[in-house]
Amino acid sequence: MNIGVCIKVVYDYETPAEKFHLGNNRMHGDYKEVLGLYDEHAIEVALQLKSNMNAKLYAISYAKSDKVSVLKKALSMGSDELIVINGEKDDPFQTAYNLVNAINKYDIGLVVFGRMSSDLEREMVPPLSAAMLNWRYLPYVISITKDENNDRFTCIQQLEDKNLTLSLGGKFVASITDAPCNLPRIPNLKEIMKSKSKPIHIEDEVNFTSFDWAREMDVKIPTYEYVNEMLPNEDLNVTAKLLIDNLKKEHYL
Amino acid sequence: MKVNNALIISDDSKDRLGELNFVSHKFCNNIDAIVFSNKSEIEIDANKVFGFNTLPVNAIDRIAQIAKNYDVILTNGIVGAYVGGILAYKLNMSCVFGVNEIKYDDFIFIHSAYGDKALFEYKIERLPALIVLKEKYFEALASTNKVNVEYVEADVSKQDTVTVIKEEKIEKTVDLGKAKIVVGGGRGIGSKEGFAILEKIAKKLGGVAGASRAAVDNNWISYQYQIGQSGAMLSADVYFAFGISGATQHLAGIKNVKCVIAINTDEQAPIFKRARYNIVADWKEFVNALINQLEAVNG
Ligand SMILES: Cc1cc2nc3c(=O)[nH]c(=O)nc-3n(C[C@H](O)[C@H](O)[C@H](O)COP(=O)(O)OP(=O)(O)OC[C@H]3O[C@@H](n4cnc5c(N)ncnc54)[C@H](O)[C@@H]3O)c2cc1C
Ligand SMILES: Nc1ncnc2c1ncn2[C@@H]1O[C@H](COP(=O)(O)O)[C@@H](O)[C@H]1O
Repeated sequence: MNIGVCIKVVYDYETPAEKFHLGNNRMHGDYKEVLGLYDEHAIEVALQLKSNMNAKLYAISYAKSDKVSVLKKALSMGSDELIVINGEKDDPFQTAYNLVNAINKYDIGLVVFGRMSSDLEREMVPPLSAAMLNWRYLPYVISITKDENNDRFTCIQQLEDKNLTLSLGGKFVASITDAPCNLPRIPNLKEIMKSKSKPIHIEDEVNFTSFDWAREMDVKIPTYEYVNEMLPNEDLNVTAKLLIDNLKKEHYL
Repeated sequence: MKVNNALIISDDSKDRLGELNFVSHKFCNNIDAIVFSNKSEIEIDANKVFGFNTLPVNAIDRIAQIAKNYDVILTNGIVGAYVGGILAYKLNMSCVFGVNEIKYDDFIFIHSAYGDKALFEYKIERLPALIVLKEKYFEALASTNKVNVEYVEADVSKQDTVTVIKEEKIEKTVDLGKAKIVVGGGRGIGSKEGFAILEKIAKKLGGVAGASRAAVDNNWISYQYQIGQSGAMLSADVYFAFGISGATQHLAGIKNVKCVIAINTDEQAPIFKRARYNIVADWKEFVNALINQLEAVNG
């Protein structure tokens, strides 16, 4: 069975607030481009599953084809092939529809997503894709393994107060949340070299009948004002004393 | 838009149900609920409560059958993650996800994105609508109205059922959301041993330790200590940020802290824009000085 991992290129999510600005109601395009944080964890889960079941792993993105240089990280981490559906809308229905077309075309039977994109953070694309595929959907998964003696999979789901070990067969979609067990690997030189000859497929996007899920009215940058005071740092014992005195004066300690 | 009825879908957590209880009554008073539970009664201001004691993934078709009779569906938490997108698509509903504020009269829903650096306003223009709320952003309206749970069969074939084969409780040793003093550490702490020192100083101050995601990723401290957008939301009076740069996803969790003290070797670190007291120093050197001074003051 082929497996898939859906990944999105986003502008640097660690950009500090004071350097953040908008253009056309989206983060302005002059920042470094990176893979989404949860998407890298999803690649790691998919890679572990790939070696566990000897499957072929496709990394899939609905993105402008000029994002390939960033998406190639998935190949240098160990994915076998990259599918880019050339499009740039950020409608979750359009995105899911195009990802699903690729999932069907490349005969993929299990797909993992990041829990949420590191820009729009809507957590919509994975369940919508599952609904369009008519497959089961498991959120907040941290690991997936194929059972040795049967056709079933074992998934660990991380919840607020417990970890659940789940067993299921058949086709499904999982969204991946971060955990130490799926910390993304750093591509090594050998994998980087190998990735240069891996196939990259560029597909045309297909328009999904528009779905009026909600109307985007406005995007605003919230402003927060705080009073800051730099304490002297020549002698840290003096600094610490000054801090304690201030906190006591303000009744915090 | 006139809302005739609303359906709440969640698990049986008091807080999650309370938040849905609060928001749903802003739309109408004719509320039913679906809970994932094994309790025989639930406290909620609803007429009828349907129950499932299976995973939401096993019940999705039955939920859709019930949900199609309502104008507004409100959900949150893990159950919201399971059912939100699926119901919206199956039932052709308008929808908004990750909602942290609502302008009720205008049907406008606010969702923060880009790690809390931008607020998106969405207007719902048609019913039925599905609304997925972010947790801990709305008042939890407690109820004393006990309603019997009417359990419903999930209706999936045995072959398709997702089964739970193991349940491992995560023992909660801290309640970061309620602590008054929190001592947080980030990547700058550099090791597990560093966090042991932070725990010690937290104890001395009568508080608890906390962490950034980078520290949790490095396995220096467990996930239950994570503060921020995907961790705990603090309501502390005092928060010490040692070796934390101040990414907006981290700042999202300390929005309500009264007094932030930042200790960082980089004077350009964004955390200094949020903090009340800024100290440019190595965290360990400052902790040592702080311990000395606390001992001098308190004996
Ligand atoms: C969708 C999403 C959700 C996220 N959720 C969260 C969340 O809930 N919580 C969270 O924290 N992050 C979250 N993040 C991650 C966030 O973007 C940052 O990556 C993370 O907060 C960085 O942690 P940090 O400040 O410890 O590390 P860094 O950014 O690497 O900062 C380390 C700091 O330590 C300082 N330092 C180094 N050495 C010393 C020393 N000896 N003494 C003093 N200072 C020193 C450095 O100057 C630097 O400022 C999320 C990201 C995404 C995309
Ligand atoms: N354009 C895209 N291409 C591929 N995958 C995507 C895209 N947008 C979102 N995803 C996937 O869906 C997840 C959730 O995205 P979102 O619904 O935007 O929060 C991401 O972590 C990705 O795995």
